[in-house]
Amino acid sequence: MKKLVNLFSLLLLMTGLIGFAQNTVSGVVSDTDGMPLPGATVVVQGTSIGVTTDFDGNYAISASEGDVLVFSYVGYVSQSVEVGSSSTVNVSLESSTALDEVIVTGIGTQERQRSVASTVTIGEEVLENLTFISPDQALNGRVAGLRMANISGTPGTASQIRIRGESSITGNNAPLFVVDGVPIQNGSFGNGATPSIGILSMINVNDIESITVLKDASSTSVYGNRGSNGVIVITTKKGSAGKVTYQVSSSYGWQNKAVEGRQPLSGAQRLELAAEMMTNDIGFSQDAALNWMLTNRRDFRDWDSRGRVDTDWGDLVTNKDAPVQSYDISASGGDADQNFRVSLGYKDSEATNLGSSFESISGSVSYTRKFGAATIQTNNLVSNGKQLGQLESTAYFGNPNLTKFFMPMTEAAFNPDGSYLVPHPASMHHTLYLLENNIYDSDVTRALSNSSLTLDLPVDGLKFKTTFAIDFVLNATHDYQNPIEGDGVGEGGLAEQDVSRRFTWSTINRLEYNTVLGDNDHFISVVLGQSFQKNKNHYMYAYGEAPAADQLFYVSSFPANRDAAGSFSDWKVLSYLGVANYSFQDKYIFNFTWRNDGSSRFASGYRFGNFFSYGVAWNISNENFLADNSVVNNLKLRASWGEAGDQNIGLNQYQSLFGYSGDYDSQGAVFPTSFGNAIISWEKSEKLDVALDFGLFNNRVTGSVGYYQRDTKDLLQGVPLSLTTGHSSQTQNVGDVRNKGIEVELDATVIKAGDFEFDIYGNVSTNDNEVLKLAQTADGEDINLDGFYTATRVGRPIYEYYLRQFGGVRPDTGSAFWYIGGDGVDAPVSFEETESYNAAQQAFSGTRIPTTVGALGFRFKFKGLSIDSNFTYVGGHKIYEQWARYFMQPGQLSTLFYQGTTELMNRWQNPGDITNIPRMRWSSSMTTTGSNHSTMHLHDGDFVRLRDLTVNYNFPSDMIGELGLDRLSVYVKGTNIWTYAFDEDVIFEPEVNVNNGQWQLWNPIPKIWALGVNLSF
Amino acid sequence: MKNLFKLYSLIFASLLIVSCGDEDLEPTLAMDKDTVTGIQSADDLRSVLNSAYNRMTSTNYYMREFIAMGDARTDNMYSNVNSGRGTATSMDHSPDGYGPWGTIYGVIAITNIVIGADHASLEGNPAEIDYIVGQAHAIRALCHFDLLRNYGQHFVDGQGGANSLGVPYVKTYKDPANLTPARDTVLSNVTDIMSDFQGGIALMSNGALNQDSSYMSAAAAYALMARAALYFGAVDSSFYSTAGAAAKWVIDNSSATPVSAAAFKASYYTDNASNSLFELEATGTDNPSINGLAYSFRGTSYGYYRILTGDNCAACGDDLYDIFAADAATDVRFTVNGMIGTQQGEPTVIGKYPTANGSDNITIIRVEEMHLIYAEALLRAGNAAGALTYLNNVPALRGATPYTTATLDNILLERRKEFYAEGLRFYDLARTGQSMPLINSIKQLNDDLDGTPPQFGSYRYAYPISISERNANPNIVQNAGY
Repeated sequence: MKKLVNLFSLLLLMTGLIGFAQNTVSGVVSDTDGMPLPGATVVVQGTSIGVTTDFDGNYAISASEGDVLVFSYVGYVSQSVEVGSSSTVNVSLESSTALDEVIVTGIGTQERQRSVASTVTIGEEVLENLTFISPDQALNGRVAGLRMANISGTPGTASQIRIRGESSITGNNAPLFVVDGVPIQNGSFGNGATPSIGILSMINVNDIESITVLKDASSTSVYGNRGSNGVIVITTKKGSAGKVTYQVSSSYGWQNKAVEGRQPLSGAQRLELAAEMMTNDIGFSQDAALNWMLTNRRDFRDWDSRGRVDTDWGDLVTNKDAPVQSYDISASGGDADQNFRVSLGYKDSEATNLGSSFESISGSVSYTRKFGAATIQTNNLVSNGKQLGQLESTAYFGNPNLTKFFMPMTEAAFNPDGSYLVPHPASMHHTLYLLENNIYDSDVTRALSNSSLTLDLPVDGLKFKTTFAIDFVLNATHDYQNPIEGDGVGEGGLAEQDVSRRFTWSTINRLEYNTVLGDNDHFISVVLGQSFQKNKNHYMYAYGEAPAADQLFYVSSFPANRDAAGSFSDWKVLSYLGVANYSFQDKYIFNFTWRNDGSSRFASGYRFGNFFSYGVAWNISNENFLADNSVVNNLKLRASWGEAGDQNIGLNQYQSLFGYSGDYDSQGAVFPTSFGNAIISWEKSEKLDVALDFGLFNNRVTGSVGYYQRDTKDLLQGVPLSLTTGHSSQTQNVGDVRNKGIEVELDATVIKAGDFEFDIYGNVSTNDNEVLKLAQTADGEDINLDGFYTATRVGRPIYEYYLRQFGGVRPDTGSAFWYIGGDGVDAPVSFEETESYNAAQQAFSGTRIPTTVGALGFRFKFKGLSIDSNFTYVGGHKIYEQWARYFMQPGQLSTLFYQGTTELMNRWQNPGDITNIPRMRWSSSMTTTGSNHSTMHLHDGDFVRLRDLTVNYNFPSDMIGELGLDRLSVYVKGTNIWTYAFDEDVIFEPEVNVNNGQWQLWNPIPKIWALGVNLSF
Repeated sequence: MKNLFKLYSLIFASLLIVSCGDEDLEPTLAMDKDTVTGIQSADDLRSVLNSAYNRMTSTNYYMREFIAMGDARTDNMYSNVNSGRGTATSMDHSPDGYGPWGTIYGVIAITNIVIGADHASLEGNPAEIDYIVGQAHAIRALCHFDLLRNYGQHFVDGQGGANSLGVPYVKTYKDPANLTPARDTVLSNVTDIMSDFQGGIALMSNGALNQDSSYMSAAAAYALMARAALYFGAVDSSFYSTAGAAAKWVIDNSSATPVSAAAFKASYYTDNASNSLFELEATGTDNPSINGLAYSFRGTSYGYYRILTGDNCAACGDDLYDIFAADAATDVRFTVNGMIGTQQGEPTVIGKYPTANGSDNITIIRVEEMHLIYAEALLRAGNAAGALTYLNNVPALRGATPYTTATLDNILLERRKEFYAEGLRFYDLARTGQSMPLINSIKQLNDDLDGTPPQFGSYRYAYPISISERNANPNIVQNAGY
């Protein structure tokens, strides 16, 4: 503490060291077209003297002959000019076309030509106009090698992001998120039953300047401990020198389901099929069967007595034209010594089904102050998001997404007087009633604070930076289930509340040294760093039943069977870092990174891991033989190899522990929790990258072609144990997985004629995923991870589909048949046919992981008008529609107990019928009727989606100048507005859960049409 | 000035570097304790054993599925598939595996921790420690018995009867040499089960802990041993006398007495009722709710076990209404006493599971069964007169007409009347070599759509072993037919 006081008094002293008397230099700062740049910064190099230009680009500054003036302006290349004898210095700054010249790295920024890394940056031009809720949405289709899917269409839900495939079998494959140099908590809050609330959705897109994706070893090894799955670096907006600028943006949109999906059977169709089961198997005549149904089945009987009026439940729970809106305002400004930015944002979105919504409000403050050699900067974001959810994901009877496929159209929703028919006699719940009367909400508050002190040390080029960051996430969830209908009936109504607090603080110290030696031939940069991060989690939960009166929703009003829980956990990571860059004449670049990490997840002695990476680059275009080449402007060959790690396992897994959370007869019950494994340590990814970057024809065509290979070794995974041990798995460092592929990025200005420009841009990447090694038993046999429909084996991708091979339906009998099959390992491959599901063997049926992901964009610009469209493609994989086992079961599940889809009308009826839907059978068994897990429900996953269509118009400055505006633009934006699946059987949402490749019962992904306006003054 | 500046920066920079090391990364252990130091006293040992009871109350063990598995496949009950649940219990066995395998072995692991602890080093009364270890032995025996009767191959055609595959009998926790055990034979399982019951009884005979019937006791262990031995009689008839002797011990020595007709209904919502030998404690805060056993009988949406009623076909056997028909007006076990209700238009069992949220204790074994086991043992030993006495002890307390002869059919009939929906019926049919009776061809899930329920010897008399076990344990052989 005393030392801190000393340090700060020192800083105060430093601020006094200003003051020389000089001449005044003045001039105009403009862009290359001669337009003045208001608010540009002019600084005398090596001093704290600085001014900003006025509205006409004029400046005046005290400087003497020989001083160097540095002119800078956001989005333009900085220029240094030595003051000569003239007192007038006019400069024109060249546009840097966003962030091309300087790239964001894991620990700061770097000139692109001195980088060996594989990174992609999303700048403001993409982030602007985003009506999406979560900032990570901006990455979709913009980064080669990045695949993204939205598991649920409920706004606020976390997206799934995979960079260069998947490496972990049982663990997490999500990338690390870093905000302003500090790793932040990612993930989501959720219980699996209701939509998760992604904590990244708490960050306002309008507060983000850029998002950079780090892919290769040289860039990710800076985050050695958690960089295995790639790193996403978010840089927040700061203030800039210049007059105070206000920015206002707002948008309003309408959302509907991107894909309508399968259609349910009408009541009459369902009755026809139900009766057919009896004529087929019980020997009833059709009349007798229809009569039996209308007499003995309550739902058909009621439906008949109501005059056979169908209820379209899927339509009832749909929220047509669900609104989404956002409003943002910010102000920023400053001068050479200080700048600030403050912002306020509000978003509100409903979902395409009733009952779900997300509303968030956020504020940010950023302030930078220079005191001589010291720069203090602080960025602070605070936001609150409230998500109203409903049961989703799987077959909860209260899940509105289940309703369409499982609630028969024969069931009424309303009484004759128009009130809801509750308690509903069907086994499915009356979801419309539940949507109005149950509560599932999550309320998350997030605070991110990042403050740093940078000291320019007296040694030229030597800087010290210390950063302290706080990441606080507070989540309060509240569930209420009513006593009339649904899952709370047995308890007379119930309420649950929990509060979860996750607090992380980080401190990072870094010493940086940059120098140029020998006539600019040798550029040397060295960074030494040290960081410590600690996270602590508190959790409290309360539960109660049976309130004394209606319209009470919180636990205190629920006196019966009160229950509570509370817990605490923490983790810590300690790291050391060394980075060295050397560039010779900016032709030959060498990079070395070393990182040493220690984690509390491992036992003493196994805590620390070292991660190294090496990179080289050759700027071929800087060689003399290409110096004046008219075609090739930029050509760089780069390669890197290195390691990154992962520690993504639960806490305390290395220890063999007793847990004390159980009870029996109101006494403590102590049970073993983790099996324990004292020798677990870091999982490591070895990453190899080779790539060629190019810029041709005056950089009208730019891009890169690269190859990557990522070998993840000593995987941290839950290795299955024989259940006879009393444990299901043990965490071990075992197993190797390889991901490799090609990545291509291209951006071409095809036409540039006057004010008209037409660009094509895009990327494509391939991924080949292969398990190289699995855990083995003591006898040396691989422990295969076989499941009902997937298997993980050596030599094959993780969780490849492993299904019985559906052959079709026998035209003579209407029975389903399968091939005996087999994978050739456990059973011989056989194309012999069998009508016994059990006799058929599972066989490998295609990968769940897309082999190709790409995007293609077209951009037109004419004066202030721009039209930008971005198509994404995902393909080469299979997707599995596992719920079709129910709603396409040719038996009782689809016709008596639940509901079927219209595909069943194509079932086999008479000898000679050619169809893929078997004969209707009097059975609720999926196995015997043929709808159980098989390739019957497996489809090609390839699809193209028009992810983004934006028509934007920037009003000319002479028109809006009279209004006092610096900028005014309006836009129309379409999101997910067109989808095409290559497999004609995929008439459902093809963007499926990345983890299991399944179409699930989540809220549908929306297509959005939105209008927006951005203005600044 | 400049030197001072450097100095301070360096000090500042090194502040944290100096202060951090391996020991700063020691994780906080706020919720758990290390297993090595976790058991130091008799009380610790008892707390560990409590988790064995706790795990027995899992929904796929005694809190729901295991009980249902004993009835839903038979002529008593069926699953109407309301919730998609109960199909596997009802005969639609997917080859991917089914049942409480992992849960039961989870209980066994706890008993092995208790049995394998260094008892001599523990603080506390040695007699109490013996008693706790005795409970663990008896629970381990019960668990293996429950596994054996659902996964053993002894009743499946062509598998070798007593010498067919049983289940791995696990006697140690985390034994590195036994992490992937193979299946023992049925006969070997039977020997181990009986030995564990006897060992447990010996250790509990000191009566060191005075606990209610929510805990294992010597009497409970005798009773469960009687049940197991009666079942093993099907593979080795010498076990009938063992069953009889154990049952008689309970009748003569335990404090449990059969409940009267008047108290019958109340015994199901009374915790530790006078007839209870062993039951599992359930409270409102355990809250199995829609996942509980009571809900599966009583509920609408997630209620799916219903009484199987006949459709009067010529070949159809007797349903529960038929067997109670003669004493319908007096027998307190069925409709007259409010034991049966209606849900979604179908008759269902409510009296035995009176509280919808599942807060009633779950009975594992009660003393009435001892009278019927003893009757059967006497009959099989040739003492029909003695058998009739004990057989009639039960209907005498239920308002039912006494039997005039003791036959195996009558004993099985009385067992069905007394214990329907309590999880015994399937094993009675199987151990007496019977096929699953046809009651209602429309409601019953039939074997492979051929119109008849599984015949005795069908592969469906054993559940398949789950894929997760087969993945991790190459020594496990899957059951025939899957």
